[in-house]
Amino acid sequence: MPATELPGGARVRSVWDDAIERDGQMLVLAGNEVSLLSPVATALVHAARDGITLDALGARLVEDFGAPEGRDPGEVLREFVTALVQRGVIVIEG
Amino acid sequence: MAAEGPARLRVLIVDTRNSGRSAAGERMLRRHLQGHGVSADSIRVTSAGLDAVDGEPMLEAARIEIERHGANAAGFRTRSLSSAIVDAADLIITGTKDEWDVLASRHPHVSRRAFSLSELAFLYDGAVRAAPLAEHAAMLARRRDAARSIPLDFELPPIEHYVEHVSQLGDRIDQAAAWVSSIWAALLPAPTVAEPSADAMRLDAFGVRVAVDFAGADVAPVVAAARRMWSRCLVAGEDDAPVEAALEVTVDRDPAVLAEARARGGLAYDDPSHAIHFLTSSITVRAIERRVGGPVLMHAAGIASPTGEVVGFIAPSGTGKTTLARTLGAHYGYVTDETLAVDSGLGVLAYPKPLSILDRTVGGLKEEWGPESLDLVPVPDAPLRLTRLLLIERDIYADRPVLEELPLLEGLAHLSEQISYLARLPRRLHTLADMVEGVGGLARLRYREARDVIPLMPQLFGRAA
Repeated sequence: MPATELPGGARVRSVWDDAIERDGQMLVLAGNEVSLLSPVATALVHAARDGITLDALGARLVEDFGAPEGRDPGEVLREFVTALVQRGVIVIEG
Repeated sequence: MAAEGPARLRVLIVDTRNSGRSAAGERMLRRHLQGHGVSADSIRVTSAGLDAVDGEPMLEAARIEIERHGANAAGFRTRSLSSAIVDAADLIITGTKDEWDVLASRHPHVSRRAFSLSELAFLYDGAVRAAPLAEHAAMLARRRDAARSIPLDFELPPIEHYVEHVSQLGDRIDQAAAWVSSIWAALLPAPTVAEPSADAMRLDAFGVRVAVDFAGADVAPVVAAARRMWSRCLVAGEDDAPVEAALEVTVDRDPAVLAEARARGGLAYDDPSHAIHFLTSSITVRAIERRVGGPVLMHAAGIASPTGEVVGFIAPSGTGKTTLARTLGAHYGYVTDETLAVDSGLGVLAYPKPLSILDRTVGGLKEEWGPESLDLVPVPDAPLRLTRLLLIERDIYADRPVLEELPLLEGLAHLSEQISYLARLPRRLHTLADMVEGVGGLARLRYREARDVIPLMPQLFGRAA
């Protein structure tokens, strides 16, 4: 199932082989791909370190960063997750 | 000695039903790889269909095209694409862009190692990338990110003109298969490590001893050219350092001689210009493979001051490193134009290889010139030490060169794309961070013409401008 259509109860988990953090940003190595994560993406992968449902993850990010202006938070979250799945930093569990 | 471990590259070809393009691609690619003496143990090619029914034969039109191009269509049965099949592939080729879209939506984690057939042909066009095969998918994905427009599908006659459509498609698939096979074959480690002869050309490639033997009736001009082009890397005959990588290059017009040479694990070509072109990439990649997990190996040019300070200029292939190395190398020591090796103490290992000159092509291939022929300054006798690292960017609006310091993570993100086997470095990203911090950070250098950078060099070497 595409990450954009995942139900709120679906669990995601972050994975990486090495990481360096500076000023709220994080550089991660996952497999052969290196990605520079924004502060929101950095908070997302930290919150998903031990596995988390999309609903809980969305609530955590809204609490830390506020709701995205003029957008559905769930939709924005799924866009983040899709991009991070493509970079190998997030896996969908189960 | 047989190749150890699993296949070096696992290629999966995907279309909708696995009965047309993907079946033809599988069989044509296998045929060309076999023609280069590449076994299925080294490069494994399979196919599957997004919505295929398992166990069906291929389309008759596909069979005809496969056989028309001299490949074997026997024993084929369709397979449906499963997650396990997708996950087992290093590089995935889809028949069309629409099929790429479907694959990427069902298996998003492989979208950066999946390419449509015409994308792949475009991304590989014109240049052999001197990078190990294991890194090609990531390298091609970055080229795709950077490219302005890529033909997503082949332009073909409309499907109503079925015979013409299928025949042209068959030709395009066969051409693409032939080109990628020649690239992959040149970059594979030899399946057997033959003992080099006493006459072998012995080279030092950033500390790796590489021996090259020559064979075949038409090889003489290649031997002469190779010794001239590689003169700065040649080591004396009495050198007793152990050879770590051995190659054999055969040039002969007789297909039987070429087939025999390829069966021995050698590189074999029917004309000298292809032999010379592929030889440079083969030597580089085999030397890189021998130093995995050792020094940091960057896609960068290196230029040395008379006292051994080295400035590294980092950029992807085809973006001006060689022109810069050639221009600056007329005044300062030419360390390398493509692969800069830096050890943990910031020591630089020279690799003054031949340069691919962009403005001259021979038979569609970039022409290679030795640093001696271009009259480049040799590296000094002093120990070489990295003193500055710059990401370079051509900018036609830069009246004069502009240096811009980059935040560490942003700099590392760019640099990491130009590192061979990053994941195998002892401390991975932290090894890179130590190197970058050891030279005072990374800066971006924007310049219009390579010659504009010459006056900047004293400052970059760390002396008073």
